[in-house]
Amino acid sequence: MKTTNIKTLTKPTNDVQQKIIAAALELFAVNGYSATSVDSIATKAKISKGLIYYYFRSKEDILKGVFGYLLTKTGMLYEGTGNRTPQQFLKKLVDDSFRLIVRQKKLYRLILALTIQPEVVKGLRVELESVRKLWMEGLVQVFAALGYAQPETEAYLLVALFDGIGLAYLSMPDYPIQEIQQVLENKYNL
Amino acid sequence: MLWLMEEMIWIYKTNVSVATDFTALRRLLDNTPGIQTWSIDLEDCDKVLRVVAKGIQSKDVVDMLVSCQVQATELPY
Repeated sequence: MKTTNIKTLTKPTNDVQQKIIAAALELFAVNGYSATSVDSIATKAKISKGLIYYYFRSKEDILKGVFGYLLTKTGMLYEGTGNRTPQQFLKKLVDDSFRLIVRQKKLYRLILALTIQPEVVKGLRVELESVRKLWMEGLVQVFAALGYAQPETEAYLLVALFDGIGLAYLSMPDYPIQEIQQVLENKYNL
Repeated sequence: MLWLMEEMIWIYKTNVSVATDFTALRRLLDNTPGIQTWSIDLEDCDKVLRVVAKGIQSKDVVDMLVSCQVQATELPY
């Protein structure tokens, strides 16, 4: 433990912040957000409770940190279409989503477990809505540009497909994930 | 004397409860020169107070909290 008079000389690092987020993500997903205390996060991360509060104001603040981490880690941080054509944008989205489902199975399982908890949805209401809105607006633009008659409905459908495919892949051992990706790419002429 | 020049973060375990006069506590923390921001995690069992300050010492915060009947113990990190 560091003492007060040397705190400024030995400020905690971002590595510690990552340890806190990783421990919290696992505990929130496995035990539930409500049942997870800051003490249990400290124990799992093998750091002091004081150090957690150095970085985060509250458990809800940690949850927001976890959300930010997931957005970056999963590539789900909306960055616009950039210079991509609508088809290139959709192709990248499909590739990234399937890559997350297949290659980061454990992380995807944690995300699913996390996002179905009412307390989490409540705590992240503003953030989730903001991300959802950005993605929906982007997808609607893309489907409109591709000439779909109901671009908004098509956007909702694609999001629902990703959710369903991810859930099925996690629960069915022989799920034909590659064939499903191919079908989806064919559907959108990617 | 680093506390005079640099922004410090102090974490305290407190006995804040429903009996605490939050209006007085808020007024005290908001109006104390040197305290830049503060927050209390009321969901945590230790009712953790986090203070970001510059130009005052941790023990000054602990001492002034007593006027609001709040006992604070600094948590090390």
